[in-house]
Amino acid sequence: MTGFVLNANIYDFGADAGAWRAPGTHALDNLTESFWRGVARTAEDGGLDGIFLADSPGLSANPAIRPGRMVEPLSTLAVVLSETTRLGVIATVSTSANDPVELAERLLEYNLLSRGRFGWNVVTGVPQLSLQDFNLSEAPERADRYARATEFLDVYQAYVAAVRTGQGLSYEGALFNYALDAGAIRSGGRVASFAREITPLIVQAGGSEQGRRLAAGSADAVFAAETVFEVARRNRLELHSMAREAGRPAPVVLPGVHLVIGSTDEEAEARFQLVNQLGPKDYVLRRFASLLDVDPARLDLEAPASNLEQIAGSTERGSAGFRKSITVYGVANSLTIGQLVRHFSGFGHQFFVGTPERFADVVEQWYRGGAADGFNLLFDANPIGLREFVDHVVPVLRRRGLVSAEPSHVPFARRLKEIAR
Amino acid sequence: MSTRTILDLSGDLLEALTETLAQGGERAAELGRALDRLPVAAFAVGFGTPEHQVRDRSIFAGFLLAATRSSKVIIRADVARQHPINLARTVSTLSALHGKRIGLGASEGTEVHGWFAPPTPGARPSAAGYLRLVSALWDSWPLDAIAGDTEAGRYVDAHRIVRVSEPAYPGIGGPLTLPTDQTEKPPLVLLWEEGDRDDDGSGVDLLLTASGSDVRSGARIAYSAGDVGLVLGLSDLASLTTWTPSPQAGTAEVPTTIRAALGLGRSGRVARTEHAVFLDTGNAAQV
Repeated sequence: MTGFVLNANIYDFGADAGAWRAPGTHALDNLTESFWRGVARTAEDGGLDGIFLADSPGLSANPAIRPGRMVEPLSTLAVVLSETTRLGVIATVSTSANDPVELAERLLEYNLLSRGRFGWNVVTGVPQLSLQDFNLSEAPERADRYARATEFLDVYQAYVAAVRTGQGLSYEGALFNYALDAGAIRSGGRVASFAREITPLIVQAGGSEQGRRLAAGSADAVFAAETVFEVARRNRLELHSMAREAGRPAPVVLPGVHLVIGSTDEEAEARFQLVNQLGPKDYVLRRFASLLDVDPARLDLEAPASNLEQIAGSTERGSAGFRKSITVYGVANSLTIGQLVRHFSGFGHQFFVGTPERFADVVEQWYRGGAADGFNLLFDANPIGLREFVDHVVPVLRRRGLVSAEPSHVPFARRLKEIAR
Repeated sequence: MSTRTILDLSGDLLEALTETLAQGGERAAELGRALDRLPVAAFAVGFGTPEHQVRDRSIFAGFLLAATRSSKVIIRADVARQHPINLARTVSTLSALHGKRIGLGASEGTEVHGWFAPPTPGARPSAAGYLRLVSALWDSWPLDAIAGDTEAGRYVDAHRIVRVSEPAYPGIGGPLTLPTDQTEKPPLVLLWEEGDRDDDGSGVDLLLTASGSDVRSGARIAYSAGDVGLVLGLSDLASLTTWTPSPQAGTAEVPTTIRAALGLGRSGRVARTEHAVFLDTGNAAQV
């Protein structure tokens, strides 16, 4: 068994906006049980560690442009767990769209029913279209979102402690107040006894300074967005240092990689072009501009990427982590804005198009070089990208001693907490 | 006389079922097969739970549905604590993934003033109103709005994705993140006690009223409507897996969907007003 971790981020049809039109894909695939059972079986048999579902509580994009993140993660991942015996799952749930005690009850029940194979990816956002649904008159500032998330997690941890000890919950904070005696705690019996053995993995993905502080103070694992090796290595060291200062184990750091695999570089590039060109016209450019809060018409594609820092707008909108990682990549590699838009490719994670061997080189450098404990993989199209990965990349990673021939049967949440150090 | 039985799973029985499902593998599969064989229209989850212990049962339902092939499940909503958007989304997801085998229920007269619904002049939240809101949210994205035209690149008719409104919860309107089949919505079930009817129950599929007259096997049909009866009080796995219906009950053929199992016809729209949210698909902010 190695300490290396590979999770698949199944972004419904895939990370590419054109993925729903990829050959062999049907528009309702992601709404079927068989799709998720197939994904689960492929991932477990293929030696991956977990399946991750990103999410927001409402529509964050027009599905006519890019369908995805439709199904509710906890419900969907129950199918994945039912199909498998070893594979872990990580579900995204927003602290801005739930009550902390009510959510804690659900997550501890999930913890039991998954037999310790469950992680909660803590996100803070509510999409613009859903603000009113969640009592918000306007989008909260990042600082306010993270203040709520920090207190939300404090309540969650206090509730878990109350369940584990069989005592009541007393919490007084700026946003939440609870005074529950032991009889009012609704998670009892086997849920409570199992929570004394294993609790859900806490995962965090924020790349802003507030997000990093939240991660260091509470997360067992971090989904990172760094795209440059040296920056990623430094980020991991800093997260470890911040966690230790907070008296916590250093979290497992898992950068995202958006990848397209082919048996040759030319084949991979052809595949990228095939799926990418199925997306809406100018979609990637408009999304790139949206991330930087800039008018697409102001982007000179021939200009150096270093110019972006001068023209970019507010950092309050969109992901600070993606924005930072993508601009750093452009500068570090002396790209033009046009070249960077292609690298961005609609997402913002490290983007790889090429052969299994070349990808294994990247993996090996980042893992052995201290920039990552593993990766969170986003395939251009699902399930074909996942199948190709386990068929062609995992064997290479096994030969290099990164992926074990005999996968671990330690429950996913416990295993990742043990890797955290 | 009830011929379509809904068996409630609560208390120690629910605990035992959770424990068995948590074991996964063959134990969970064996339980699933046993439940699929039972001659019942559906299982209810949490209706026998005391009000101060009511909590969301969608997690349990997700694992139960994944372990069964034909069993139908009606979960009791935690109407005071679970945000209707989240629950509507969850139940729609489970319905899509599991062949329309899930329904949603609540008890009228229970506490409904949740964190998600601040006091609003003129708004009178109720359990029935909560269920109606969930159903209206299922109208926010009709399944048949999906075009799925891979050649033309037209995934959905976005103008049919709408924000809806329900007077009892004026601030909540969606849209949800996924489409729902308008003709096969998860059925809504409401339990009514005598004297606490502050809502006409419109939009609800089954209004079950207290009966409590038919006692057998240590369980009782506590609520009924027409030929549908809800049995409360089963206490352990043995009483569940050996449960037998009354002689009048006859369900030789297992219906595919929960609406058919409960003798319900097609569902329809309940949203009273709505407006499209994607009017300008070229707007970058909507990307």
